Amino acid sequence: MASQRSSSSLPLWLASAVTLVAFPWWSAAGEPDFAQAQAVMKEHCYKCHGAEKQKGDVNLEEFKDASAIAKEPEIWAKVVDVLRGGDMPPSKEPKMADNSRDLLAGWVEQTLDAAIIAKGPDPGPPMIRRLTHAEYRRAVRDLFGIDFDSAGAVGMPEDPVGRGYDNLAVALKIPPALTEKYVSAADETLARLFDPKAQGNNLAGAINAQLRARGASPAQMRETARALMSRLLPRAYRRPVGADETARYVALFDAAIAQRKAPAEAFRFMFKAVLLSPNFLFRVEPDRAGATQPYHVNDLDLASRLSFFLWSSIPDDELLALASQGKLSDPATLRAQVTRMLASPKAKALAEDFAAQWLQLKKLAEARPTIEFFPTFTEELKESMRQEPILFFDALRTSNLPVTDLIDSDFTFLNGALAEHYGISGIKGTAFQRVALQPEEHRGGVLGMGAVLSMTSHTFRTSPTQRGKYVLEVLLGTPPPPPPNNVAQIEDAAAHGEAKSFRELLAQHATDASCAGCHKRIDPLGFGLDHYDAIGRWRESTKDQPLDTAGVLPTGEKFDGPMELKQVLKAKQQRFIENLSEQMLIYALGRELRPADKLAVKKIAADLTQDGFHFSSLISGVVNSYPFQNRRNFAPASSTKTAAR
Amino acid sequence: MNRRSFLRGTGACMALPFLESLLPRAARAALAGRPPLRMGIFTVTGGTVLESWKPAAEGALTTLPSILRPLEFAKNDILVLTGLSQNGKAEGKFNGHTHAATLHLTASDVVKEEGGKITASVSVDQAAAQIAGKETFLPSLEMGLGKGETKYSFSAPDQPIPYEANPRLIFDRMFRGRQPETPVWARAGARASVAVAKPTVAAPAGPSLDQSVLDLVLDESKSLRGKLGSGDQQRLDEYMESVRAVEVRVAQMNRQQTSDSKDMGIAKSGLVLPKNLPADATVWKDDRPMMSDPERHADYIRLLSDLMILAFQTDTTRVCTFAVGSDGAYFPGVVTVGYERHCHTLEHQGNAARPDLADPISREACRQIHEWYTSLFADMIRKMKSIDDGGVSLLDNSMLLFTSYMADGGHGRKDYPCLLAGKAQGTIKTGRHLAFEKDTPVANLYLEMIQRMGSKADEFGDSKTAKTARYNGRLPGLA
Repeated sequence: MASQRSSSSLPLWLASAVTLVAFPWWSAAGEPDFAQAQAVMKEHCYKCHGAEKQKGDVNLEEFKDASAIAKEPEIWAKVVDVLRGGDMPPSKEPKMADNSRDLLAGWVEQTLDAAIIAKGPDPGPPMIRRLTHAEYRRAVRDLFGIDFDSAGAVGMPEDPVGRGYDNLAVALKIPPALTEKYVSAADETLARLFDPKAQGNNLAGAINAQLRARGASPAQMRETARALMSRLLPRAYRRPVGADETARYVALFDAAIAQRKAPAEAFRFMFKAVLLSPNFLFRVEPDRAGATQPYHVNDLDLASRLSFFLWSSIPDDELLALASQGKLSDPATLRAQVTRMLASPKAKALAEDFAAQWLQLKKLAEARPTIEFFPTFTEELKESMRQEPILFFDALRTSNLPVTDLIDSDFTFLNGALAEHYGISGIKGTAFQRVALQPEEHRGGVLGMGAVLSMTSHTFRTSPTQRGKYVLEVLLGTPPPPPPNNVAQIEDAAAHGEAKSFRELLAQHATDASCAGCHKRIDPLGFGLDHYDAIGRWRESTKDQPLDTAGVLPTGEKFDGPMELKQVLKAKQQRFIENLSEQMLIYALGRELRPADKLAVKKIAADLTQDGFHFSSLISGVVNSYPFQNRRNFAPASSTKTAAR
Repeated sequence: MNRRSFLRGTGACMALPFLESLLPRAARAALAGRPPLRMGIFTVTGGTVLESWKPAAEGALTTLPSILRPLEFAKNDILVLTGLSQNGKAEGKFNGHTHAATLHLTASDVVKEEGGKITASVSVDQAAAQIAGKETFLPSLEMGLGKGETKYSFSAPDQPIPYEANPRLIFDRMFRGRQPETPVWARAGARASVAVAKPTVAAPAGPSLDQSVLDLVLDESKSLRGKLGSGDQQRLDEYMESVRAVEVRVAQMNRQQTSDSKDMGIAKSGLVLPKNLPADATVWKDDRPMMSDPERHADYIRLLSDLMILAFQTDTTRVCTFAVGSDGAYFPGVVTVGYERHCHTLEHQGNAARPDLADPISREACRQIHEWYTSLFADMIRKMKSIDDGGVSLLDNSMLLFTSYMADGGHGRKDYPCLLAGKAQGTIKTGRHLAFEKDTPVANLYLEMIQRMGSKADEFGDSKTAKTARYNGRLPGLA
């Protein structure tokens, strides 16, 4: 049925990935060894993180060779992060030369990667999970043709969000209270499906009339039920369905008829059972009997992985047919299918589900600026703000644009209200349109969007810290650690009538040793965006004080204002690309990444870079990645410790 | 006996006299023709402002501090408890809010987070529900603005219970397919004999089609389970378990329906159904207007309080938790000082554990917000005092805990605001202020509460294991 290739040997791409990932960091003089790395650490690190002192509980001196380092990938990945982020060595210590920095960070990365490769490829733990509410809604739409927010109508609790996404398997459980909600959701959905007023077509009437008019005998009605279910179930279950499975539903039909229900009513009970069946509600990939090594997912599972990734829904008939014939995993077919699926309007789900979550748009609903201080910050304006990044991201897909447009772009999507808010003239009406941007309009990329700027503000002022954190966390994937408990808040100058500028107050706060380490990384980025007020309007000054939008990063880059800030981010676009690849892979796999996945991320990022950052290349990179294409059987003994990023 | 006939029989079994001795006290009381004890929790966000909450002296209540003043009329129906603290540690990714929230009703030794999954221990409401919930249509009800931090209730260490925010859905959950009706408690004893005389009365004619649907789902789950690895099987086991819970609910509904229909006509219940309950559930989906308008917020809190009263009055459940308010709400009009209206910001600036560290204007704003919360709690108490429940007031048959998930807005966990309203059928002596030794675990109070609901447990949460364990895990002097 499905293709069953086995792949226990090292795949070709992995070998090529090794050279790709390791190469840029190597010094021209040849491969560094532990002695060279140790020399750098001796000069710059051991003083505080060595045998004598262990600041932050970190002792690097106790690692005596490469294999010791490989055993603690999480600590050493952190070492690479702080080196490349310019956080270490601290500024009060002697400066580390760039080539020493590259040598040490590169050598550690290479050592960690080599350890992963030596262990053999690992597609990560297999997972069973229920559909998210968004997937449930779209699956019902694709099954029954009605688009209805049943989760909202019955008040399903929001899906738990693990590390930013709602589709992570570990968190998606079904406690009893939720099962009750699924029963209600099925009832509500079917009430609409069978309600002629809501649907415009009278399904119940049609079923009853058709069966009665034809004077169908009980046996014929039964046959109709069986025929219908044998067409519906494979779609709902995303696989071929056996006669025994269909028979269960026919038995339910019989029971309803025996209780003198009308045929349509009997169909309704069958549909209800479909909507509650674990085969529909859960995404399941059965183990391959006896397999001890990772293997390619079979074609049917691949079809589901593709459709839930790109459409947040079940596979369509074409995809299922190819999978059932075992043709989907053929590289040319797969490529054609991904292209077809990306072109489908259903793929807007990537913007609505992935991008909305990655960009944390949910926080906009709780943005703190109030209409008390900002009378124009209405719910309508907020809704327009929420649409902008979604439409923008979707345009990357439909026009296959470079993903670096997220950092800076020469277009965006506006309607009349949002354009007026931004001070851009000539746009009217409530419908959104693509608008070419001029430099003097100070927009372009997500950091110029009202949604991002408002949700990172306080009630009546901007928050450079929140904005800086957003850049670090969302765009670069290097979130600062949370502040320690019971940390003092900024006392607002306005409350005390003091003359200090906000920047001075923040600076004071940030000189506190426990705060400074992070804030000097966070705050400058936010000050670079301070030309945008708390609800994202451009301003040249504030009421009482001149704007101060200059910043210096720990790594030395200087900038003033958002345009220069974006240039700095473009210079860091390698980090941005890796982060986006990582985020997309987390979303596609429905699980947190593990150290072994790092190679896949780097390969996706490298291919994306080589291809000029085109959106389609990001998608095909994820689809062709090792963990997306492979799985392993459940091994209870295996460690499933997750990677800390 | 197969599963189906067991379920069908449950209704009749419950009423059989020989089972009576096995039932907990609250349930026995019901059978003896007396109303049962109800336990309600009304817990607000943001702690309190202690100097405006704690009465100056121990003993009989005299002048109430300003935050409690809306309860003046019910002074003899409340018992103020001070000195209670949470002591549990947090391991994993918690912030000040989630740490306090997870400890709040569980009083765990330690709460843990791993990969987004939170574990604690059984919460006080769920411990009560596991005993007093067997007899009612819903074992318990959890409601309130279900924002991320409302992780108060756990039915098992790894099983948080979601909170329902939507009033329409809460109402539907209680009364979908049945009529709201007050039981005739005087007749409840007679109810048993009817059931014994005609045991078939409670049993439906055959499996309903809804039950057949669930049977099919369980069959499918079983065959799917066989194809899975052991880790995945676990997830499916959870699903099957919860499908069975729904099935029990269906059976229970049939039973209560039969019983209610007998009470109809006898009862002059005088039930007042909430008037401002919109027919369309989606009206409530968006809580933003409410979050920025205290008048609408107050209407919402009153409506949910009415639903709690209705749940008790109709004996739909005997255990109800209401998470009141939101740290994210704005309070223009309630807060009349300063310029800030955002509750969370005010909490941080004005509600630190030490008054001298706080901004005095923000602290006054916090006090205003908490007085506002108390006035809404007082509205509920006033109503419960006026409702007849088998000869006494519904309040007299209740034990209502008024508290907060934090002790103060600075994420404090020492010296919680705690107050019990209602005489709990004579098991609580009200009209007083009891001050306990510093750092006495809140868990001691929770133990006292579940024991009154019929629990035989002699410890709860960290009542005995806390470093600051006091009074042998009890609270002396409550009765």
